[in-house]
Amino acid sequence: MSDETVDVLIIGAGAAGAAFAWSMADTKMNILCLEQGDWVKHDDYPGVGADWESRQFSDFGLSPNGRGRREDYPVNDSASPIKTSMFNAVGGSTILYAAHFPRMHPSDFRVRTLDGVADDWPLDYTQLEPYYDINARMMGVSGLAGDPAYPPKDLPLPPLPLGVLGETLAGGFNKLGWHWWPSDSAIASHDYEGRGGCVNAGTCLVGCPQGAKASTDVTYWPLALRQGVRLKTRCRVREITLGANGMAEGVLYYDADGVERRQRAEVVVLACNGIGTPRILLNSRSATFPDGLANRSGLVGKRLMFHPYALVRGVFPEPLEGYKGATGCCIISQEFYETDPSRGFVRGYSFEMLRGMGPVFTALSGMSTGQIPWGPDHHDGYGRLWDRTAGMVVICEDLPEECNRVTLDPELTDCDGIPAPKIDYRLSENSNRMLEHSVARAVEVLQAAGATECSTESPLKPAGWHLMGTARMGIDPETSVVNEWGRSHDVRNLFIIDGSIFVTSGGVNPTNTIQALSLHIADTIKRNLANLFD
Amino acid sequence: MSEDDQLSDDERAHLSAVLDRIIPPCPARGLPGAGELGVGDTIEAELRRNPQLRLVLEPGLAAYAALSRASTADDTDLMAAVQTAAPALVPTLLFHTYIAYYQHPRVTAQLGLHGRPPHPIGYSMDPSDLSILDPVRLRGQRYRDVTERT
Repeated sequence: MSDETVDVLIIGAGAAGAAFAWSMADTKMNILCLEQGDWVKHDDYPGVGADWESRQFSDFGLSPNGRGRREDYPVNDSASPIKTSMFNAVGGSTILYAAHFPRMHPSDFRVRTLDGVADDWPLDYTQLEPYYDINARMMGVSGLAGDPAYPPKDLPLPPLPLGVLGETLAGGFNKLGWHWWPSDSAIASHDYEGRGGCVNAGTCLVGCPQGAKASTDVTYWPLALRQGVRLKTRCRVREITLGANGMAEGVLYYDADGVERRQRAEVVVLACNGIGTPRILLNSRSATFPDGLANRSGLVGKRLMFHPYALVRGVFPEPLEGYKGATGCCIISQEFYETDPSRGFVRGYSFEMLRGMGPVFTALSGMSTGQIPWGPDHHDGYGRLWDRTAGMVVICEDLPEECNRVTLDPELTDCDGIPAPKIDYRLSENSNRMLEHSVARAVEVLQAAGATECSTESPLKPAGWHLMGTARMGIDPETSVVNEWGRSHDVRNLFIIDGSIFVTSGGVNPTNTIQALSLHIADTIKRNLANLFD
Repeated sequence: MSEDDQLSDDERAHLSAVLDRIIPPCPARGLPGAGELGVGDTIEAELRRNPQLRLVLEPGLAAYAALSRASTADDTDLMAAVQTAAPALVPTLLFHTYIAYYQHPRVTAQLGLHGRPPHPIGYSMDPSDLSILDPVRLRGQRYRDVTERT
């Protein structure tokens, strides 16, 4: 057991924890981060081997349930049509993310006011804007200024190349007169701050050996560590303990050898994602908080939001060079992002173009759709799809519902015996209508771009990689878990900085907003150090 | 099949023949058959990891052996008969076969990927002519201005 009391204890070294640690480092406080995963050596990334695609079925798969690594915990998602994806390591899920890096829009923070659904956020776009800017510099975001779907923003690096595939799809959008723009990408389009520029290898979803993709192990963490923040890996927090004064006292965790340890702290900061954070809170029960720490509102674990995704692919007559380029970062369309009541649903969605598939996924995809037979016609079928397939995903805004939730599984545990999270989730009628609309529009634009046949998957089952809403922020302690700067209403030295605190989901990838929020919270803490617990 | 989940020489030959019928050689594209490429080694390695595979492989290869000895039919008819006699054999082999085949350097080289891993060299891409964005720019602002409503 450690007798040391640190000033700030961060749980989780992913997108949010890293940004927060870096921002807090200039206070020279005693800051420690506990991370259940480990550093991933870049030489171990699949992209350096011939088997890089097939490792997505084993140690670099998206689902923690399939990987079987000691660093992961299982998630019971049998009661959800969308299966959870996450990665536990220094860098968290940024190790495997596509690094598509859009901001949320001004309207996303005013959903109740504008559309009469869900709730407004307790802050707005203009308050987060300076932190989006800092984050763009820290992560090294590539993109093009002038996107008419956003207020003006500057990005430090020029956009990634569109390639033949991107230009082909852009032609389809232009033909229909729809919005599109080169994606904001947390991938360095050329050498940046010690990181190599993107070499267009297309292995982003299994990690980037080049370091071009901005996983936080290569962005925030080296700087935070240099400034004195300490990071202990393979340390899995079981629960946050409560002191007699009603404040968080610290945590109990298991170290790399499975030995139970205690770590005391003046301030505890949760950065474990929208599933991991409620898991720890719900597992931190006491006489004062019998339903889980900081849960007087009863909302911890509730209002879980994924983004319902659909995948739409088209086959084109000419080669697209789709194996080249950043996998998920090509172009984005937000033609249908803002509410239009005539569509039969509220809120909206983004289209994000994907690069083509590698050789193995071309074969497996063709096998599952029946487009590539085995036997004498195999090579003709394969030749028709190889390098001629382009696709897009649809990201629908998910509105919060209390029935969508994270609880503790009564039986399933991780290897340290900590209860696993259980997910109960259903798609709302609004989401179903939005998916239906978006898939039809996606087929339309692929055909306009020249696709001769299209295949669709809606909802996309393994797409539970955006985990939001399970400890929402708000001004009223009765209807929210944390306030407008991430501090628990119930436990005043407990902060939450990950996607759990999202009030609504927007229709874009959340990592940029998660990090902007964590930088905003860190700055607010620094400004209020003298009366932090008042 | 031996107790240590190794294939016998005969089974190995039969497996190779089945694999060559799943992905046949294609001389026009310079592509080998899956059996010829050695995909059978991958299947055998998978068998060591997953002994349950034996439950499908053993009777399936036995059925193939019996049918191929007895039949003078062409490949298509032979494999149709194998499918009837051992319906799980081909579906079970497909996933592993496609993976092993399409990540093999001989095959990826023929597909234009130079037969090497993607990193560290990657691929070159030309910069785009972004004047194709002109129509999008001309349409003007697409986001909702919320300032006057809050």
